Amino acid sequence: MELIIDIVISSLLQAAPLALATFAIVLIFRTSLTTNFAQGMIGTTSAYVTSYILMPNFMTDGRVPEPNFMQYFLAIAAGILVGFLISLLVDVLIFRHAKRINAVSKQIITMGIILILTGLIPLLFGISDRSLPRLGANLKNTFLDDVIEAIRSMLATLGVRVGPHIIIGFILSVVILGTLFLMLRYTKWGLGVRATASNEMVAGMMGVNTRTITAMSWAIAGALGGLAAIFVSSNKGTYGNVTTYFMISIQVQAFFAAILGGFSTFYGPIVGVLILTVFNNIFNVYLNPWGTTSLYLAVMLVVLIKPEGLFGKKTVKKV
Amino acid sequence: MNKLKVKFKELQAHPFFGFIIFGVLLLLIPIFSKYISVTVIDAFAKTLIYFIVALGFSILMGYAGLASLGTSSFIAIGTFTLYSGMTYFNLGFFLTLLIALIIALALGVLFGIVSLRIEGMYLAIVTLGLSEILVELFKNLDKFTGGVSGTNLDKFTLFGLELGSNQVFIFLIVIVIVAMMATFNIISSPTGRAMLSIKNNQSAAQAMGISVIKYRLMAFMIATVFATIGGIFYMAYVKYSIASSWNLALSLNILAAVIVGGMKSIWGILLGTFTIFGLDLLVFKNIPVLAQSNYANLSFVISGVLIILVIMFYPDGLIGLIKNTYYKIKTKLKKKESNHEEEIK
Repeated sequence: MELIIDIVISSLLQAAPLALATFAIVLIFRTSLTTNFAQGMIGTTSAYVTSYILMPNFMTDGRVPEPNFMQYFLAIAAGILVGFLISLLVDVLIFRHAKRINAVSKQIITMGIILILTGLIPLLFGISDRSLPRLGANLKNTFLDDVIEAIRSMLATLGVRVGPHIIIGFILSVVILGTLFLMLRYTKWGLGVRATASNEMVAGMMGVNTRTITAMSWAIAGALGGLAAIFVSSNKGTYGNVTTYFMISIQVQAFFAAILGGFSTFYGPIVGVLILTVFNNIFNVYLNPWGTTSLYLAVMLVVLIKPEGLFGKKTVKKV
Repeated sequence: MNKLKVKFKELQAHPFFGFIIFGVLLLLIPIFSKYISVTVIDAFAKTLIYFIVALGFSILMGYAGLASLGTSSFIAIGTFTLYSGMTYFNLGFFLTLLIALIIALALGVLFGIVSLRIEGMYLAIVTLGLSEILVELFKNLDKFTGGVSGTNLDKFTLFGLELGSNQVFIFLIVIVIVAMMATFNIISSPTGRAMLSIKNNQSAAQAMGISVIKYRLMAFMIATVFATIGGIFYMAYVKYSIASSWNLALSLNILAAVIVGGMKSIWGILLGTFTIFGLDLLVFKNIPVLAQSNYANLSFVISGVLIILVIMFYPDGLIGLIKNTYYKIKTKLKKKESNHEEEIK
């Protein structure tokens, strides 16, 4: 029983990157009616940019970059900016002109973007894997470190042991996602997104600038993808933790979480993420090495029974 | 003499004529293999293998309209079944082939059943998940797949004879031609038309009495069988297969080959396969500057750009573009001729 509590709490903490990636996918789905397969790859590019800024050459002897707080912060910001710009460009150059294309073809366009980025990454950054230091490794003897240590010791009394990077990821994600949800509810952009999501044409006629709304949604999604990639890299250790395909499993899980929660609301997928992460960890403890397999099969069973997801609304088809 | 000419014209009009000519041309490669470098022959063999896979995928994508991302894991199943059947269980080629086909059909049914409930956009996601499951399976079943280090096929035997790479190539050409004929028959039969009608409007097709279940399952079964056969020949020719090489990028490249060439035309798919895979294997890998490891994925960039361009501007693919320009030039020439005649008058 204690193990289950431990798993549940630590899973909720670890769900941060997945929640960001899933929110980004749902945001794009609501405004552009496509599932962005390139989300993970854009995030990967961000992580590559960050690691390139910190250490332009990969060290085969196992050395990893050791930036101070400000350096790391700026490098991450640059990486996220690149994700933001790539995603913005994808919308401005491609999806703005692809409104009449059917949904599956739009998906295929995003698959084309995956191929482009997969080809560009070794061209720009070399073929070897790259390294990113763990988040929070450079905070020793600062105020922030004391706060994180306090939280960690509090969690330790509950029997939950997690690294500082997971705490940082959790806090940042809660803040960011909270802000985004508030923005969706109370700002003009949020109103625009909701209007565009429910009916793009009518929203346009009512004076919503759907172009800017869609472009901003793509850009924000790209930035979230970049941040998610940096969190994931921290989960994968410190040496050689950034590889070309390292976001694919997150991408698949984000899609599954979104399907599980249903694409038609913003909160549904986030609940889906929490359910998915908890069960992922439980399955990985009890059903090793078939954890991921049984997780995917379980989600598929749920989706086969309820194709519109747990919180989705059924769309009525008209002939 | 005249009779012969008429007969030849009749033959030429037959749809299989082009396929046979293509096969005969391909046969020149193994015949003159002494004078062609090994990398070129390998490139042709691999491209032809991916062509078989792409033919199956075109029925799924172009005719049934189902975008699936599981292609590379189906190829992997072919490679690993051939390895385990021939090396691990010592079953001989035909029994192994039979088992591979049964596995492929079963998987096709599984994917097809999933596709019945989950439609359109979600299908690509779910097939991506299913293929991730298969990748996990390959990693864990290391007895049959070699796990992370891959498997080597020592030799490929048929009727007790060991086939060298040249003989396997000839066998491959025969299968390619058979696959082209089979695809042609499927797409120009009621089956193909039924699939197309479901793609264009499912509700209307159902109202006309077309069974969606039957044709979706069939489309998936055809695609998996073609991919598995492609995998078997990959293993027979290359003789090495590793789970990590059957990744998402390969599935996407197959998809690119089908879309870029023109989803609904066999020659279009051939053109697409040679653009996506042939260009990389035949040209880029042989240019010293581009053969550096940094440029290893250069062809991916081109495939990606081509996919986007074709989807946005040329839905009929390169073959459609070629046909269009051909007709445009033809009509222009005709106009010029008629203008010329008028001037003479």
